Amino acid sequence: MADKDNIFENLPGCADTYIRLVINKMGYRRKARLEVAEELIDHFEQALKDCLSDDEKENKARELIEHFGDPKLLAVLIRRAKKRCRPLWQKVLVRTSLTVLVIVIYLVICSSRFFIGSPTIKVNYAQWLTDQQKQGRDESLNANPDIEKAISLMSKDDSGYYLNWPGDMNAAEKAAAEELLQANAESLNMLSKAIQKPYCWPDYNSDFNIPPGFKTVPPLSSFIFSKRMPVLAGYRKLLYSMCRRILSNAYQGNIEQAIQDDLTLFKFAQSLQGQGLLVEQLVGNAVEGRAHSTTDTNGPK
Amino acid sequence: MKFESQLLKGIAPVVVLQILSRGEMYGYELTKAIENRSDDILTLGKGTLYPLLYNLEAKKLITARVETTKSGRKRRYYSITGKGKEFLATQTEQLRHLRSGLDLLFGGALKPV
Repeated sequence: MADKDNIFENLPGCADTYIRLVINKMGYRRKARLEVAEELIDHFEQALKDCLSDDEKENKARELIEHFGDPKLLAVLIRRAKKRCRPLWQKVLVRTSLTVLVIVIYLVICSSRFFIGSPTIKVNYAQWLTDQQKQGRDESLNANPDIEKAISLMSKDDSGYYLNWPGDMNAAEKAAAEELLQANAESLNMLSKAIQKPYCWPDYNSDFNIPPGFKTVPPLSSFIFSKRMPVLAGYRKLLYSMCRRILSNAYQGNIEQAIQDDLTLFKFAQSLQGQGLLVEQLVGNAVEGRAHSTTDTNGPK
Repeated sequence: MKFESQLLKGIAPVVVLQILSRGEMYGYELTKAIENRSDDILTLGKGTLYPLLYNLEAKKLITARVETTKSGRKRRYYSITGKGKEFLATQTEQLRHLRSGLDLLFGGALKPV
């Protein structure tokens, strides 16, 4: 700043003020401002060099200032012209930086709602999935509530026991198997009754309740594991129990009942192979496979 | 006699280039040269001169060289470039055409008395 002040020392006060005003209003790089200041000072000094007295210098300077015109306008014009003087690489750099800055600001503005806003669920996919399967049918045609009831009626989980042909069991095993069948009889009868209904669709929407004040939408995978997986485990229990009853009936010569139960399993499997979740369809395939294998392996016996 | 600013605006770069085509000059010297050589008919506003010089420099029609004077002051000397000379030649030719057209239009009334 000392250099900047020194360069004004030979000028009358009004010229000094005028030039300072111009370079301040220019608002450009310091180096460019200094260059312009030196050039304007030189102009004034050259114009005033023949003046003999200070008064004459002052008057001549005022006249010159009038010729230069409005300092703000002059500053704007000089700034614009100086900007044009920038080399190409500088222009490219400035333009690129500005573009990047604008993009960054735009992205920050766009993404800010993810941090400060609360999500609004516009599409309820759980409801959509239910509607896809329900297709406007009456609830009385839905086997699902009865199947879920059958699961809840299961008093003993026998899916941990091997499904052996009763003829190959010892007396203790036979007694245990019989006990399991007795305990789950009501549940299996409910399944047989449920499967008489022509359609089966779970109400995903009632399971998929978003807790109030929940900030993010829970992913579908978490919904499957927390809500649907226990139901699928219940299907497995029903399957094993029903297979045990098929084998027991076949062994006792109740072939017709065994075939009825086998058909129940097939229908149950088909009801799962609709338009539900992929994991449900896979469970449906597994149920069908187990029904097949129970018949194929033990049929000849 | 003062010219309309719009009238002078178009020819101001040509006037500056024409003066610089005779040799390099600094800002104040240039204004004086314009006034002297045009017999005080043409006077470039001081507020117009420096932005004009910087614009011509940006267009590479003139180039600037800094020299330190005896008083220690840095002074910018402007000189015309090759591109500037080409531009001046084109503009001069156009001015000649313009003058011929105006002469015809005014029936010789524009010729100096």
